[in-house]
Amino acid sequence: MTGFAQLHDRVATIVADTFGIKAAEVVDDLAYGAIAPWDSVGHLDLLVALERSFGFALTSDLIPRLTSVRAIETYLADFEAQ
Amino acid sequence: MSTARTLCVACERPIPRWLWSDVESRLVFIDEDITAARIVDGGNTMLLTLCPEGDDRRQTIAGRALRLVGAVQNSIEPRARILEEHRTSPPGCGCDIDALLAESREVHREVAGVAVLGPRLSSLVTALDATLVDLAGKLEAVPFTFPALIDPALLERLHAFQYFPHTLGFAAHLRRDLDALERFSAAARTDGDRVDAPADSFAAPRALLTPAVCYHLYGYLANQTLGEGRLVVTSLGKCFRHEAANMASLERLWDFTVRELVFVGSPEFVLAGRDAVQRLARELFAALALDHHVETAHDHFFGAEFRRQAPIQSAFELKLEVRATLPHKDTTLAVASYNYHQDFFGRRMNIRLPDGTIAHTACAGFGLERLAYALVSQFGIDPEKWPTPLRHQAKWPA
Repeated sequence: MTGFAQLHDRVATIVADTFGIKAAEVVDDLAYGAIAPWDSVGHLDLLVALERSFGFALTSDLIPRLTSVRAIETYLADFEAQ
Repeated sequence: MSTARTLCVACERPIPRWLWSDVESRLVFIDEDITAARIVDGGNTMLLTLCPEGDDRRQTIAGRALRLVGAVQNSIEPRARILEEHRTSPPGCGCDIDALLAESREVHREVAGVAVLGPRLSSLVTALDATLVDLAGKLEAVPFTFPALIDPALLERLHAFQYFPHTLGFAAHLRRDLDALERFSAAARTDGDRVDAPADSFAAPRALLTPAVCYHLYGYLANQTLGEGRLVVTSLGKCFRHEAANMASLERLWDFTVRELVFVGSPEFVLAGRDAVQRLARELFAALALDHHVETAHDHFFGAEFRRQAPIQSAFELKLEVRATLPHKDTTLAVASYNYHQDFFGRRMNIRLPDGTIAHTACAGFGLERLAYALVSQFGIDPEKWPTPLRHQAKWPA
C-alpha cells in the first residue's frame, strides 16, 4: 500500500466515524454540504478529529480550506512530508 | 490579593487576548452576585466585582469562573475580517450622550435594560424604520406581523435552549389557583427592581419572550414546501435578550426593536438576497453619513457551544456585523447584522423547496434603538445637525 493510500484510509476512517457513514463511501470528491452530517458543525467536529489524529494545529484559516476529502488529503500529505 | 467586594481569580493558563471581551461579557451571567468582570494581568487573572451578598460565596464564584473559562479556553480563534470601512468623521455630540439623553428625557430608564424613548428619539426610530421599509420594498419583501411571545417548543427545536440559555426570558403568569391568587394579592410587593411574591405564585412558563424576530417565520413555514421556491419577508418586531450586568444605556437593552428581512429558498437565492440587503444598506448608511465598518462576527453562544460554533461562523463569513462608531467612547456598536444560516433552520423545521431539497435561509436585522443611539452619538440630539434624509423624514416635535 502506498503512502497516499494509507493516508486516504486514515482520513476515510475518521470521516466515516465522524459522519456515521461507511469508509467505502468516503471518496475524494466527498465535500462539505454534500451529505447531511457534513454541515457547519459537523465540519468542525471532523477537523478537530483530524487535528487530534495527525497533530497539526487547527487554525481558523484552515476551516474554509479543508472542505473536501481531496483538500484534506492534499493538506495532510504536505503536513506529513514536512 | 482580593479586596472587599473584589474577587481576583487566578487562571490556570492565560486567557488569549482575543477571548477577553467574550469571557468578560459571559462572566456576569455565572452568578447573581457578580456585578462586573474584567480580565487583567495579561489574561492570567479575572477581576470580579461582587455585590455585598457575594462576599461569603467567593469560593463558589471562583469555581464557576474557572469552569466557564475552561469551557471556552481551547477555542479556535475566529477569523475577524473587516470587509468594508466607511469613515465620515462625524462631529460627535460634544458631551456625555447618556447624560444628555437622560437630562432631556429622551431616554427614561424603567429597570435595567428597559427604556422609554422620548419624542425625538421615537421620531428618529420611526424615520429609520421608514427608510428600512423602503429598502425591503426594493427587494419585494412581503410583510409579516410576529408576536412578542414565542412558543417554547419552537425555541427548543431551534436549539435556543442549548445555544443561548443565558439570555432567554420567560413570560410568567400566576397559577390558576384561588388560594395562590389571594396570597399573591395580599403579599406581593416590589423590592427594587424585583417582584417579591410567594414562591408558589407563578405557573410553569408556557411562552418565552422572543429572542429573534425571524424564528417565528421558521415556525410558520414548518413542514411546508415553498410553492414558488423562494420567499422574502420583512417584519418589525420586539426582541428580548437578558444581558445581565452587560445591559447599559441604549447600547444593550433587554427589550429592543428590530426591522428584519428574511430570505428563504435555494442557497444561491438567499445569499444573493443577503448581498442585496448589504448593498442597499451600504447606500442608506452612506446617505446617513454613518461612520461604520462591516466585519465578520459570531453569535454569543453559551459555554462549550462557543468553541464549536464561533470559529465556523467567522470562517465561512456566516455572520457579518455593521459596527457604528461611538465617538464619545472611542468604540463601536453593532447596529445591524447580515446572517446566512445555511440549511440549519430549514432542516430543523423541515422547510422544503419544490424539488424536495431543504430550504436555506438568510436574514438581515437592524437594531433600531442602537442605530438611533449611534446616530445621536455621532451627530448630537439637535435635529438641525442631522443628516439630510433623516431631517426631512423625521417629524420632529417642537
